[in-house]
Amino acid sequence: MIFTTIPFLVFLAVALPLYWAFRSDKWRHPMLFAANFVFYGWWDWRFMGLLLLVVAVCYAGALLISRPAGKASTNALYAGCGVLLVLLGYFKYAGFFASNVKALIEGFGGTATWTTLNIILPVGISFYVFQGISYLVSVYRGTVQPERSFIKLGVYLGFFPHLVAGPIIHAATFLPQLQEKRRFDAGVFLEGWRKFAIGFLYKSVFADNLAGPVDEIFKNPAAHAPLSIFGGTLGFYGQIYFDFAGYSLMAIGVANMFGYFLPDNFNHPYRAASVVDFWRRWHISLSTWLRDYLYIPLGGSRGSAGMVCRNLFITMFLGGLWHGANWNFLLWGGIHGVALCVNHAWNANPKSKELAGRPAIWIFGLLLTQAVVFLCWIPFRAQTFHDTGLILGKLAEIPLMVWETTQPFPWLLALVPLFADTWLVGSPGLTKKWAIPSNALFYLAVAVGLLAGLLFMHIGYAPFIYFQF
Amino acid sequence: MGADILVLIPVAFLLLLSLVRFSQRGPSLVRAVAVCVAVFGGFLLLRSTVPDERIWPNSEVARRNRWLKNHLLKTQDWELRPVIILSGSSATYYGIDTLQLEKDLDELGTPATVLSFSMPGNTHPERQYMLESFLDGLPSEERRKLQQADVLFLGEVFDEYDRHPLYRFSKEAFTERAILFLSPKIAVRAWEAYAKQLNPDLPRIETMSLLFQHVLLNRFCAGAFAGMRPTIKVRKTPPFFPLEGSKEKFNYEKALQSMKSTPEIQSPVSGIPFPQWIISNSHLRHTMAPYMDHHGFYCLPVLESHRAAYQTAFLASQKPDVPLVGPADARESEALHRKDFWFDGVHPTGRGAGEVTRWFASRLAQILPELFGGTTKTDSE
Repeated sequence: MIFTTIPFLVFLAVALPLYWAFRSDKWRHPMLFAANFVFYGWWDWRFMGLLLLVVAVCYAGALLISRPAGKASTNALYAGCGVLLVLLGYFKYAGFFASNVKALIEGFGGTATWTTLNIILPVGISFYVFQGISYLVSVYRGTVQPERSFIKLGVYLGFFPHLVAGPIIHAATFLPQLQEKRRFDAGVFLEGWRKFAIGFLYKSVFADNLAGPVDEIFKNPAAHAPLSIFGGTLGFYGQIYFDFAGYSLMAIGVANMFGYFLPDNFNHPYRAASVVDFWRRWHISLSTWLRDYLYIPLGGSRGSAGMVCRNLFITMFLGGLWHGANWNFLLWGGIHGVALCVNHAWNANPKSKELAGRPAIWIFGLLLTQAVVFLCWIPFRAQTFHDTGLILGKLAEIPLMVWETTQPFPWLLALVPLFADTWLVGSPGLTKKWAIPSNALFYLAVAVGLLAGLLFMHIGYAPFIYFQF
Repeated sequence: MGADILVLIPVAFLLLLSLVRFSQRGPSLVRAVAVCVAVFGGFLLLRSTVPDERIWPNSEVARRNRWLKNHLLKTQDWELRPVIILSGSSATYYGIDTLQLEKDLDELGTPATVLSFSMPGNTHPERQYMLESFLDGLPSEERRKLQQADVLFLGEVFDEYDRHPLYRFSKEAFTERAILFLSPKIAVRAWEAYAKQLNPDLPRIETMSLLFQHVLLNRFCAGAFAGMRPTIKVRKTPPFFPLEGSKEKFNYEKALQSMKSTPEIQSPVSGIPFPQWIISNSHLRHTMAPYMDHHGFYCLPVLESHRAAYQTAFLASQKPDVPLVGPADARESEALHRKDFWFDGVHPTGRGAGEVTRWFASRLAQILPELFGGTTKTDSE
């Protein structure tokens, strides 16, 4: 089910009143548990079995891990995480590795008799598998108690607002909320609608209206002039942000409507003046997960500069692989890893502290960071390695090019929302200074925001980009 | 720049949404709902006062209706000849050239004016909308003439009578001509149609559910709003746009072979096709009641055995006084069995469309004298 479609609105219209009509969690939790499976099974009923399996593995794994400490507990952790990773590996990476091994064998003149695997990728599998791993590790570390109710664990792992595209929630953030009875609060409920309305504008108006022109350019980059290519890349720079941040905001908003709180997943990442800062603002739940469960166990920032660099590179490389079994994603992760290494090296330089705070340095940092992010989106979006090279080559021609496009591009659509969101909405000073405290205006803003979303939404199918991950 | 400048509107609302905060007095859910209802209701009322054509002058329905109106008004003494109104699917849209049909009918000695409200996509509400918009757009004098003229209304028989309303809704919502709008006038008409002509065979609850789907989902949701930029591509619709080439996956030889089989048709299908269709058909009859003298059905040649069997079963289920055109007999079908005549199993292409039109004219010419005799209503008056 997609948030911006009629089936989801019908689902929400049924689920919300039903949920609040129950007075006790005794009924609310099973209802949410069932709602999660209906939501997920809407794509393909077979996915429900997979989700159920993940919940069962986490449930049994956590109970085994929580037995008196010792080797058995560690083994249970490895076994639980192993099963989850095998599931992820099978559904997400088996086809990629099989096709690459086949290509390698054939490249050396051998013969590979198997055909390329054609496995359906269950929507959002990376999100709930990572969440399951974080739960098992948290139980192992003792930061959360194992959940003894299968239903509650199912509500946590499969909570439908964030099930398919995050945010990835730590067990310590969500499980305690399930222990406390949710009380209806009009303020939280309406705040949920406000976030949903903003996310709806992000996704349906800004991202989806950009998707068409962007797709057109990336479909056949060879046919387009450098300026069109630049427009397409700029469009994707905005599209991916509005698409993913829009989904996250809608997810957080829907969770609020049910009385739950999810952590922010984006904090205006295009304001970041360093790559380190970018990763504190972009897909925060994933970068936090990677930090807690990969970067720190690898050694984190302890050790020599070389070791820190190695840890950063491995983390980002695997972060790229998390997005999908594709060489382009690995390149994207690899470049970000290198950029983070450079950033850390600069931060370690005493001169950086002297220069920090100077406007010119900040502007330079901003431009450099956003240029890296901008260029990294090219392999992320391009269909092949070859296309990535082609696009970069065409962008290099920009200083010499004739200022003409091969197809009309909606420049205002690509620039104005991005500017407004990054530099007006994203400015804590301005939003505080210009805040409008008025209940009537609040209601009006939500209503007209949703109406504007419906009026200007793109008509056509444009799935959320992050559903594929 | 063009329509892009409109992006400033959602951006303004984004800023407003980002700046508003609750005041110190606690929020009230009841007031919030009241404000939302007022905003949405006010907008819908305001919008319903503006004709669709003003907002989407180049939409497919508006363009085709303009063409139909011009065609009707430019035809001399059109009211003295029978008017044939076709309501069909893409098979008619791509397969029947209305200008050629008129010419052929003329040559066969049964001159008539043909108006086709056929649409690809098999969507009843859109055809209904097109028909109603056309009638609304006619000058009152011409509307009166149409009421007095001899009108044969023919609906195409096809076997996808709205089996899955929600699927159909999503198809419409994602089509580039999602332009319908629930204006109070159309809503009242729809309600009247349902109230007056509800089929007693259908349980009331099912009827209400279908009414909900038809009026709310199809009329309101799919077309109430449009994208930021006009997504409607200008197609070569008026007067005729036959398909070209053949579908990539369509295998002519296999299709031809399949025509030799005789698939079974489920018994309820041939009697009452699908509940949703009955509702739509009631609505259509209600709209056309002041205009039409005869309401019949036609089926065009196909290369799919189950469709052909369905057509036969459907026509067989009609009362004897219902005008029927088709299906093509074996000899007529044989003449159309040429690979280059078919885009796929349902749509004729290129010269195939011309041949289908000619066949259709010959069949129409057989029934028109029976229906209207030698004189028209206007003559007899």
